[in-house]
Amino acid sequence: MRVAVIGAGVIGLSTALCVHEQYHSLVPSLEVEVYADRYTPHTTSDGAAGLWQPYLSDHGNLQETLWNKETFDFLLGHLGSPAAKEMGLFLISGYNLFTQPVPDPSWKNIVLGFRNLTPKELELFPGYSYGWFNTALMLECRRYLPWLTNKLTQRGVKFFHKKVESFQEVSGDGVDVVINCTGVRAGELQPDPELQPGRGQVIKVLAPWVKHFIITHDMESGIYNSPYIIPGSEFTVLGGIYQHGNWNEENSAQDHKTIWENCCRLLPALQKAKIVEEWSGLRPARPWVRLERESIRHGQFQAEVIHNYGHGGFGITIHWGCAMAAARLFGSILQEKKLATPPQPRL
Amino acid sequence: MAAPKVAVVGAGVIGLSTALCVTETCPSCSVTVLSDQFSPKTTSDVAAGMLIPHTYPGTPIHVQKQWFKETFTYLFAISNSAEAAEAGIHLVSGWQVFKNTPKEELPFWSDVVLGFRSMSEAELQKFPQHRFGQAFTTLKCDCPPYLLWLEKRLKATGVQMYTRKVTDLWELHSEYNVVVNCMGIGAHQLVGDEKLFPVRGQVLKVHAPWVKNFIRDGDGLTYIYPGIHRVTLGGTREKDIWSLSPDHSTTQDIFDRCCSLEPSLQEAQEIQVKVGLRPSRRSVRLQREVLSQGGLKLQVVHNYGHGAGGFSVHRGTAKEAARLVGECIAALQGSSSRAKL
Repeated sequence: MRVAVIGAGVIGLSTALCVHEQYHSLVPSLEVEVYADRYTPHTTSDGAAGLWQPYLSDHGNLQETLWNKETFDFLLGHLGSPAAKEMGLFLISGYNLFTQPVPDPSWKNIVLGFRNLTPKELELFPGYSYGWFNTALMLECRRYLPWLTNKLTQRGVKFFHKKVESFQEVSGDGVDVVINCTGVRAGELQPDPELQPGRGQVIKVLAPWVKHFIITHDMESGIYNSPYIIPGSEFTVLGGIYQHGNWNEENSAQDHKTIWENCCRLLPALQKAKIVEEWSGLRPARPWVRLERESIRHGQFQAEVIHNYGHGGFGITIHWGCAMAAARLFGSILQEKKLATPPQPRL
Repeated sequence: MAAPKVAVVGAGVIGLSTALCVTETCPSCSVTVLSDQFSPKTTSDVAAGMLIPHTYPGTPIHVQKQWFKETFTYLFAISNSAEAAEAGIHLVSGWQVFKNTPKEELPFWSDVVLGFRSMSEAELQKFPQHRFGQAFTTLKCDCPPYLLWLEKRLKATGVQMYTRKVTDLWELHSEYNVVVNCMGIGAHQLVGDEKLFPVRGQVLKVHAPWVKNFIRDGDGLTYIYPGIHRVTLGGTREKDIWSLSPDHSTTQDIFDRCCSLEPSLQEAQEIQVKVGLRPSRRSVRLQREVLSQGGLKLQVVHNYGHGAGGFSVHRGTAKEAARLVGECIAALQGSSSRAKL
């Protein structure tokens, strides 16, 4: 039973690991292969700061909220383990800021210590009159993806540096199940008008005195179009750009100016911070995550495809819940092929 | 009196902040800082610089609270300004955890720090050996940056600083009108204060930049304080021990205790060991004294004995000391005008 995972960002690698962990002992012939044209540190995931935080509203999409929670709990469980540093995983506290009162988010009971900001705290952020404080997690993909890669390699998963042009290309080669984790370019494998790039740009600086994340929100301009500051283990990420439909992966001088001026206004001490890197990436934006099976027929070949893409700006936040769900879909494929009974849920 | 000459003895956080306050309240004063040690060799440089007050049994609580509030407000403004990074002042959030519920659930400073509240059950799960906890956000003064920033501000106002070991306050009588004694633990020898005693503290300063929150055991012995470049792991509180040499088994013990609170510290790198002697006293000695010797008088303001709480109250006590310096100068001007009659 050959499984091809297309895509090696956080979604592809975690899905590959979940599938292998759950089924390799049940299906002795299981071979998992990863195909991607970009590997860490060149994936979209690598550019993300790595903060676990869903969007403000789940738009009634309870399924995604559950996947977010599964991911948070999974990561929280790894915090005290020796692997945490290697995974790039650590706790971080910080602020979400608003210019008006807003309803509490769907994730208020998932994170730790969620509360409203006090008037004195708001004095730190002129222009913002309402906000939240909570403790969440950081998962830095520059470490997490290599960690996942190591675990996969130890399990005998093979990696291929290759741009897959069609599902048929892999299914025609004898692959039984294709797991499509191609992120923003999924449309190249199968047109999907719902999938659009949500272009972002970030500036990485040295500002080790910043210990909190600060995320501002402008309810009018939309998610991520308001400045944010996220301190990592080496660099602090400054951002605040979200351009729907923009495929340009080049850094924009105008966006640089926007980010820099807005973030320095938010935290004046940043003016003295040294700029280390600038990066642009395309969030794989979709009204909801596409996580479903599809049977693809091509001549005499039939392949089962599991789609797992469209995680927008919350891929890291939701990745493990989605990987588990994709693995369950894989289990149902195995059941149909009478290759295995499904394992007990491992939550 | 033309320009009153004030000598501040001591260049730790107390000496430097007191000198700065004197220049602010008495612009006509000529202020000089004298010390045998400057940053990075002061006791302050060893401290983490966390704004979490130590309670002095001999000082009224409302006074301690006033000192803390003044200090917090002052540093809060700096942390919010463009100078924050240079001054080494930054906000840090975290938890104080207790194995046994403390008698006093609300410390006197709980409404001065930010967002003070009890920890939730979910937060406490990270600390299986602890049953109760408090979460809040406070400030940290990183040294050397903070002391160097104070030195820079002092130099900008014309304050001179000299390396000099003062063994007797009377040495200064001919050159200065007022002497401010901010010698910290050095006051034990300088003024023979038997009520002042060292509380030895050993700490580790490590590279662990993924640690973004502080964790403190309510017993005060184990703490993890993330600074700009290093995390301070502590510690010890050894009364009447004068040794400044690091103790190896203590180092291991501190490391083990901190790792049990924060397991990821096992991966910490570049461990540096430091020792400081907290200049401890039942109450901070913050008072005037007029020394007499053979017809000569020397105006002295004492500002020492801050023990484990120096950073937490430094600005408040510095302002009070500067006010007392003003009283000394007024007294001198009064007597010199009387002398003219």
